Amino acid sequence: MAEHLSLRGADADAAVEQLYAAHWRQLVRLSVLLVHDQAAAEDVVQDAFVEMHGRWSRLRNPDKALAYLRQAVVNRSRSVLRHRVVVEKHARTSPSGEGLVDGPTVGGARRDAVRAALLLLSERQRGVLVLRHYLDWSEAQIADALDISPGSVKAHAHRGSAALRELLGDWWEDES
Amino acid sequence: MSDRIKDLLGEVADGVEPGDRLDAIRAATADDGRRTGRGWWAAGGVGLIAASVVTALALSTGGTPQGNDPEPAGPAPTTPTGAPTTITDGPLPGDVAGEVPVYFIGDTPNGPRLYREDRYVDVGYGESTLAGVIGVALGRSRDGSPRPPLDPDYRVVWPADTFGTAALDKETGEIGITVGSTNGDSASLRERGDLSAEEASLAVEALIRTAQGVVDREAPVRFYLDGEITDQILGVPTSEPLAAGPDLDVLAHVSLEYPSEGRLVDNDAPFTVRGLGNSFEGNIVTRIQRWEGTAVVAEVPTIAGWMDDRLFPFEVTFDLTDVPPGEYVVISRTDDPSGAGNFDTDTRRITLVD
Repeated sequence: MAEHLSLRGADADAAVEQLYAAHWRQLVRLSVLLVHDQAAAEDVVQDAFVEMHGRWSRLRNPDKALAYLRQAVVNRSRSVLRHRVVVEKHARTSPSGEGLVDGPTVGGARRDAVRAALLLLSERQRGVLVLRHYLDWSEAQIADALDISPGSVKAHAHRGSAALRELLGDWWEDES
Repeated sequence: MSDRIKDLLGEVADGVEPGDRLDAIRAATADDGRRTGRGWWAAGGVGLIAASVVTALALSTGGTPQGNDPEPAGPAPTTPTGAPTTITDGPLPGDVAGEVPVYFIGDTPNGPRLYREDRYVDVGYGESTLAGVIGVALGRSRDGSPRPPLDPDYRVVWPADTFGTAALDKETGEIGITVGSTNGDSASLRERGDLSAEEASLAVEALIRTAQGVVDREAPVRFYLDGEITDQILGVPTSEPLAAGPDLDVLAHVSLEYPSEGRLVDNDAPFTVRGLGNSFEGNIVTRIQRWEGTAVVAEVPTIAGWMDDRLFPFEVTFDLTDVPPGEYVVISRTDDPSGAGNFDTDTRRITLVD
């Protein structure tokens, strides 16, 4: 696959296949950072792909497909958080613990600590930090995506970072 | 500070290994033109347009039909968890999601039979492929939403609100499959309801073969209804552990392993169709024709084994270099010496790309 994915002229099926191959993993990870539940994150991204497929012929600029998908994932992740009850229902019907927080992990204790700390932030703080630092979005983009003012983005970013630092304590300094 | 947060978030994100949802996405975005394989075949035969055949290779030795599968991600030999329940199956860290054969019902001239489809199994951390694959065979995704067979010619006949999971009892070597109903009326699964006796029996058989495909072809399978042993499920006696039925009685006599439904195929590369079959004198014919209309692009006979009660692997390679991009259908069929045209067929839609 070309390093720079050009989807001009591709039909919806082909576009989905290519975008899936290139970006599925990263998009699920983005959603996991926002919703903290891998199965729910996969659902979110799957739905985003299906939605994009349906709108493919109306996308003016196919090269912006990734931007479209990211936005859809952020929007849908926010919906999941707003309707957490759905996720809780999901957790009840799942056959075994599949949440992100459970279970031993390769990355060890620091990763677990960061996950736990992220959960303690407010939804807004977490969203701003993820979009700012994981996606490298500008304050204006974040304000748009989260439907808050640029001033609020700044404030949430500041408070969120400070809270994260405090919650992580020694983990924050540990560079290993 | 900003870089530090970036690193920490990256570390958390990197720890997430997403399951595969490509075929769920394909299923959700597929147009639902449902046609039967036999209809395609009967309508074909207009003549070859292009394409030459590179090889038609019959693999007459290959052990049992499933014997040469890539090793599915079965339960890894890990530390026993010692869970005291009848069905024991602890976390299996080596047990990753992967493609495993799943059995679905389709039609043949002799009535419904089982076909197999290689499917990804979404597995949560600590959940085994065996546990997850039953849901796939029941046509459900992990969250309970519909996840039908990829091939529109196949179907799941279990009631729509059936859920199920399975585990290996390491002491007895038995596979335990438990099914239940999300509508709270699991007892209704004892009866076969509107299903024909044949469909009901195949529905149970599909779960047996799907579970065995992950663990061990010979493992006995014990059924539970909501975790309890029951005298019957869908009217099929289940008091004792069950074995799979004879291949030729329960499987369609031709079943394609590759390509999967909806696959993109590059016309520059040799295109190899693989499947399993058992046909009169071993004759299995594979054809590629246009999706729209009946124009046949290529047709290749091959000889697979047949003097045994099982399916034999076959493989046919096409050169599609001169075939224009577009939608095509691959059809493999058995032979019918009676001339009545009663072939078993299996079909896959493919998209040919430059």
